[in-house]
Amino acid sequence: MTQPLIEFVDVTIARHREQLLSRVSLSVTERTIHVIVGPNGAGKTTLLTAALGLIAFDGRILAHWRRDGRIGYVPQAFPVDASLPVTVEDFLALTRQRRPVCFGVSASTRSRVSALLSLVGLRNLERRPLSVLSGGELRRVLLANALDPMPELLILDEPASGLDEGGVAQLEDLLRTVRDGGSTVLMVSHDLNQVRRIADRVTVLDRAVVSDGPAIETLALDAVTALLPSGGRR
Amino acid sequence: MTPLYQWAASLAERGILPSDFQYPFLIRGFLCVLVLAPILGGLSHLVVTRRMAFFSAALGQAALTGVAIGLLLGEPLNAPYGGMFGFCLLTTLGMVYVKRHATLPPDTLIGVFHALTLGLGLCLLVALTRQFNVHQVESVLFGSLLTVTDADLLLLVAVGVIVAILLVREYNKLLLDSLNPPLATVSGADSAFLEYFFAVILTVSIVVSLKVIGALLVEALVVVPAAAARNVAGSTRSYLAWSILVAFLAGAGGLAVSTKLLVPTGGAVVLAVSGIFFITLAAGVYARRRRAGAYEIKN
Amino acid sequence: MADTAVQDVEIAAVSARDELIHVLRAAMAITAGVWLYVTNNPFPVSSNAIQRSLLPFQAIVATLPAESQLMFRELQVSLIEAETIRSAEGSWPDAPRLREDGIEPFAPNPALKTVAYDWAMTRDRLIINYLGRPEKPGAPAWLVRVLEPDPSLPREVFVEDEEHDQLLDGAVLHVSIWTRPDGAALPERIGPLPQAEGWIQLYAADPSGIR
Repeated sequence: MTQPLIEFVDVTIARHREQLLSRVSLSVTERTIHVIVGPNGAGKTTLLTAALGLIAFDGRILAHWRRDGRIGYVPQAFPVDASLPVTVEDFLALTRQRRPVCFGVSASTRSRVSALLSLVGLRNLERRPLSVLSGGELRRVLLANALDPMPELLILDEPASGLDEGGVAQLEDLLRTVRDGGSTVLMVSHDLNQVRRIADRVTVLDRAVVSDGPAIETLALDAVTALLPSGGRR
Repeated sequence: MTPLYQWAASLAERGILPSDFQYPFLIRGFLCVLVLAPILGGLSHLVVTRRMAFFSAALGQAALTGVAIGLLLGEPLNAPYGGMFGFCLLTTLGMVYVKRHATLPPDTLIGVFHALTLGLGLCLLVALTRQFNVHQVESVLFGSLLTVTDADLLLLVAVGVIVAILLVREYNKLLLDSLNPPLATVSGADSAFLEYFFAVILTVSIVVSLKVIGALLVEALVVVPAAAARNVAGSTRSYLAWSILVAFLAGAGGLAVSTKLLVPTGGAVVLAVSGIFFITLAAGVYARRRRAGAYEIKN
Repeated sequence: MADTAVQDVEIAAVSARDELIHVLRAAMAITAGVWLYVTNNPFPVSSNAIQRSLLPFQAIVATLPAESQLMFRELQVSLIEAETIRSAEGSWPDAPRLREDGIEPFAPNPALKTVAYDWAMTRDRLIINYLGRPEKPGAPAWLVRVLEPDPSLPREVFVEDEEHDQLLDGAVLHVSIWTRPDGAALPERIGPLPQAEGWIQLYAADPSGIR
């Protein structure tokens, strides 16, 4: 029987006297792809940020780790200075070698980075500065960074943003592989078609939980279709 | 240090070193540059990546106030380190905490601290100059090799070694935190600790550099080397290497100019580093145009 | 992958209050450290409060040997005499003139067995140097430097201290007396910054005026 990996219990977040999230309670079951959807400003990213322990919140967030409790994270935004000379290889090496990256990347790290990039469908981009990558390439690099070593919980915020159709398909295959390998995926998505394709469970959020359950049934609810009239990608 | 000065003076007499090296103050100055270049040049690339240029300027002003406080506490004019380190470190802690928790934009907050420390420093200096010759605090503002002692040089070396060791230990986490703090947190780093940690080592490095570069100008040597390096670097390793090289060339060049033309050391160094920045800017533009041209021919 | 026992972890919220406590603790530690340092100064220049207001190239003449203190006093007096001649005649007296007038140390006192000096006056625009080279190796050299006011600048306000003298016409002079331990290895010309060439500026009293 599957157990919850992460539980949100009455999570409330307020900023400048405005309620960003109000008494959100939901469970993310282990070894599932759990997607959070909602209109703009619903608090989706805020909820993920709270799960990472990055902002203050009231309520409780409980994790029930069965392995090493490692979290992989793909942020929604990753602004990079246009003149920053940090390369893809440098970036991926930051968490994969002890030697400061300013002194170079070791040979073993280099081969590990190449393998990672192949995993996400990128080749020969190691020496490319992050600042010149396209949005899709950057997202894939962030995904590669999150997947090695394989995390127990993978958190993604709009991971398909900037990807072409082929990239989206590859991403979805990857996420299924991650889930089938024993990890749990918690993600935010605007693309309801994608959600229908890959999600095991869906939480509809609008500063509070509107609905929560299996993907197809939840998205078919009248309250949900009223809240999310557009069914495709923005 | 005397045997070192005597040895250098003998080399200068034999023509192996420039004749100016017969003077201990110049040898000390050159040694300071050798130590400062990796410290400030090395920190520079992280300062720019973490967008702390204005923060560094505020620290320079705070050091001026620190000198005034140190002198008021009875410290020697030539070594008011208690006041400098104390006030600058307290200011750093305050600035970082307020920046992390206030709602105003960071540059606005740092501007407030910048104005506060400058105002406080000026008022204290006016009180002091009734007692001390104002020329004696000019060296704090603009830097003067003639006020650098062997003890200052040894302190600089000691701080340089400690800063280097600490930076090497935390470098990867610092850089990742500079790029994206949530990613750094997820990988096990403490983003809050890193922010305070880097600010403190930057403060300490700036304070020990003041005698050579001066409070008003030290920010330039913490920012411009990395800015120049960005014009030509193609990776993190070359970013660091270029930052240090530019800092060294500016330091050595500024030192030579200041002793020949009798201008403040800090001013000469800053002019040198600015000149190098514009050279690398032109070089970077030229290189990019050549690459673009080669790409067009290829296609 | 084999599962291990479940570890229940509550994800902690970021706390500004905890951070403030840490910052305040650090601030107290810094303040305590500075207080300890200031009260137990590890770089004592001397127990004399005067020394703390001097730069590395400055010294109080009382710390020098008696012979140097005598020379310093003689140079102070000779400077006044030179300024008197300058005020009366419009030009600075050279070393032979001061010797003829019997002004010590330009005219050495035969009763005192001191080091003999070769004195010369040089002028470089607004800078007047009276330079004494010792005839005995190892003896210190001496320099009296006078900086006349720049006529293109507004008149300076006279401050009564060791670094300023005033001519009868009100012109404010910047004056200083220097010594250099190894008088034998002197360059031909003295540059605009004697301290950059190993000269030490001497004061009779604490220049800051602190008691």
